Amino acid sequence: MGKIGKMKKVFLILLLLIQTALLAQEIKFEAKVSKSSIGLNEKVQVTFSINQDGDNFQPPNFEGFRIVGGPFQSTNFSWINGVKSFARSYSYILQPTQKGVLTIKQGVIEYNGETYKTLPVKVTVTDAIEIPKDPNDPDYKVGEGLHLVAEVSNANPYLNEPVTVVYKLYFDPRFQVRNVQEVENPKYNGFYSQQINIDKLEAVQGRYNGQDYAMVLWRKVILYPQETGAKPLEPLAINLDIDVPTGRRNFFLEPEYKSVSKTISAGAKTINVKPLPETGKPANFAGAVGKFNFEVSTSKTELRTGESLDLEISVSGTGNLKLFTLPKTEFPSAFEVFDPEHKEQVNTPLSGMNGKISDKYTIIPQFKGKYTIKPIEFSYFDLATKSYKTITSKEITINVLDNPNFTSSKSQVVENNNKQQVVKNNTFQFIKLKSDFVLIHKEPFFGTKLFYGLLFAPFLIIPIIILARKKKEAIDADEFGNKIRRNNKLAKKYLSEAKKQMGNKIPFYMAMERALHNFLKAKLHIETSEMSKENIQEILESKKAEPETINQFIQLMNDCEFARYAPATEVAMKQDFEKAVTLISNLEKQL
Amino acid sequence: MMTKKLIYILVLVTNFIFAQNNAKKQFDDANELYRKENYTGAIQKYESIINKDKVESSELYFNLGNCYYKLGKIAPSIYNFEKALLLNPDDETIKTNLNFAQKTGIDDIKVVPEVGFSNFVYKTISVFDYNIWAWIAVILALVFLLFFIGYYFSSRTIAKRIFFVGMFILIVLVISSVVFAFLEKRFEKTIRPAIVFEEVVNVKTEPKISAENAFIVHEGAKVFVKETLDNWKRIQLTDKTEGWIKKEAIKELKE
Repeated sequence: MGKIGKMKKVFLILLLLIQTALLAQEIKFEAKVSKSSIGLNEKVQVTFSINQDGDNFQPPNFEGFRIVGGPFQSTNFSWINGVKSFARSYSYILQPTQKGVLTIKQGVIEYNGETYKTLPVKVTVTDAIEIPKDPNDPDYKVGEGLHLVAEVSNANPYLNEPVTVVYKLYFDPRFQVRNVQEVENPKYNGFYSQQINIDKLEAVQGRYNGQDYAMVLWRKVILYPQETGAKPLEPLAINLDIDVPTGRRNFFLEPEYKSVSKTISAGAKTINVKPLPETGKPANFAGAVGKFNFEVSTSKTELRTGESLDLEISVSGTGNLKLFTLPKTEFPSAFEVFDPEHKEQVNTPLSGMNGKISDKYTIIPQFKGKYTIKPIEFSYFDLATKSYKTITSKEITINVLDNPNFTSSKSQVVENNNKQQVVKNNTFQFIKLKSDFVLIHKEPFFGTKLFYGLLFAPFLIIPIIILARKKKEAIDADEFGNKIRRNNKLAKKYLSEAKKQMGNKIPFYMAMERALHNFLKAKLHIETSEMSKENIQEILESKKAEPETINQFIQLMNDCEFARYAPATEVAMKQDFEKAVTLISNLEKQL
Repeated sequence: MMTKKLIYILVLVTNFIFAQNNAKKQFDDANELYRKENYTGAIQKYESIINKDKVESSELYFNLGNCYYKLGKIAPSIYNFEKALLLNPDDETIKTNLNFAQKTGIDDIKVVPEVGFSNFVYKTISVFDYNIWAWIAVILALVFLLFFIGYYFSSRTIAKRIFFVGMFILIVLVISSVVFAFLEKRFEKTIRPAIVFEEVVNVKTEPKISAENAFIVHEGAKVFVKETLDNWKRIQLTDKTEGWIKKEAIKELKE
């Protein structure tokens, strides 16, 4: 037991000896930070320490930081159990002035003629954070008497509905506040923001959490949400030096103050932006939200060509005036229109933008005539009634008179298009007083059967004419045939005459006789001079007619001769006529 | 059959004569209303002539156009002036007032002038209606027949020669008249001018609502209809740009 204890002691002494020897040789110079990640409103302590008696310490220039305290130098010399130890440190208390990863550069010290440097140390600086309340923290005591408050008028607005954020600084009236500056200027992403200038910072009496404070309106901002959804607001951080009374009095009985530098932040809020209702949204809605008046006016309604007039489209009222476009209109092609001149007369008090915006068009009519500018519609979302409203302007009629001294720039183009005559005659013409009307639905002629018939008829007539003429020529050429035809015709003619004269004895028989003669002439090709009964009989026989028929024919001829002088009854006449007809037809067959 | 047709024609003719007289009276009344600046009343009278009496005339459409112009209604005004011009293509008065009406419109579409031989042919043929060309062909055919008779029956050589040459010329004229009638009828069917009646219309690249917008036309613009598909019409502007438009947005002049 005793042996082991002795052994341990010897070992320990040995170890210490070695260590001391080692320490005596090695020089350690290093930089340490109390926290490697801090908020913008926090402080960090950096300590440069050396284990030898170094000289000529030079701190780095703490870029991105402000030295709040220090340098505090401390030297520690100890002699324990014959072992000498030495430590010297230089510490600084730093306050970051910007966000991001900041580097504390190298500190330099000399020892025994040699220069030693520390390694650079990185410190991450984040957004300002709420410092946990620690009643023992001296800063907290100040904090109790110092508040930055952001008042948001509406945490649940519509798109384009104005939201005001007022930053108020409350402090204990016994404090003296100096050197206030904004550390972090918030960017309002998703909002159109406008700051309202405060001419003079003035402390007034105010109450906060039931206590009396001095209050300074630090900043006023109007926000117009441009996007829907939950939109976080970045906090505003300000840094200020405060002289806090210590409660003691100095030699001259004046209160003694202790100076404290502090960074406070406020306004890290989320605003939930509602979209505008879809129901009843007019087609021409261009994003105007508020309460507006809409007006379209012209400087003149009657002018001459080449003169100019102004047309003003204006919207006045309260709302997001700068954040929407004015309705456009289209003009008759006879108007030369210049790009509009946009004017904004907008004030921005805390209640939101108000005033008037307008587009002014300069128009030069190029042709005379009466022109109308169609009514223009303007729609906005009324926040008071939570509904869409549409204002329609009145129709404007512009009467353009002729100006003989003016030649239109557009008419030259027309000239090139061979429309000169149209321009020359440049008055609007009166109605026409006389008219002839035609049926709207005319009967079509082209393509009908009648059309084709009439078109081709003349061509069809041509061959008929040719054939007819040919026939006529042929007829003219055949003289002998003609004679037969003529006699035949005569025979028929007299026979029919005889029929008519039935009962009148003498004309009847005379016609009969002629008919028979002519029949013979045609058939036998004989002349009247050769007409004797013997001759006839001979020719008929030679033509091989039946003897009985020949006899009957001769008989009939004789009868006709006699009957003229003898009394004859109507019955006999009828018989004779029928006889003649049968005989003629018989002979016709036989010859 | 024949008598039936005859009676029909007779009824038609008497009807027409009656309509003529009635129309003339209405026309005078309407003109009187126009003079008293009662344009709406005048329009009613003029339109009743078209709708009830089923007659038309260039002057009637012209006066209607004037009334609409006075009331500031661009599309119907241009529509009626164009209709008047169709019936009487060379009238300067109509052209002047049409120009006034077009100036009130918003679109200023360039007119690409038609050039070349085809345009010359078109201009020549359009002088007459195709029915008139048909009648000309019929009359020329008849004259041809007379010349043939003259040629065929005359005995003097010189006269024969003149008639013979005349016959050749006439046959050429008959054929060309028929061809012109055919062409004119085709033009009538293929050239379909129309006027935009809707205030603002998006003309699409394809015949459907979701299609991309090709361009925008406004009330009173003149377009030419090329094709029809369901509720869409393919149109061409005077500057040759093309697109599809909804049927209801335009009104064709030849309907």
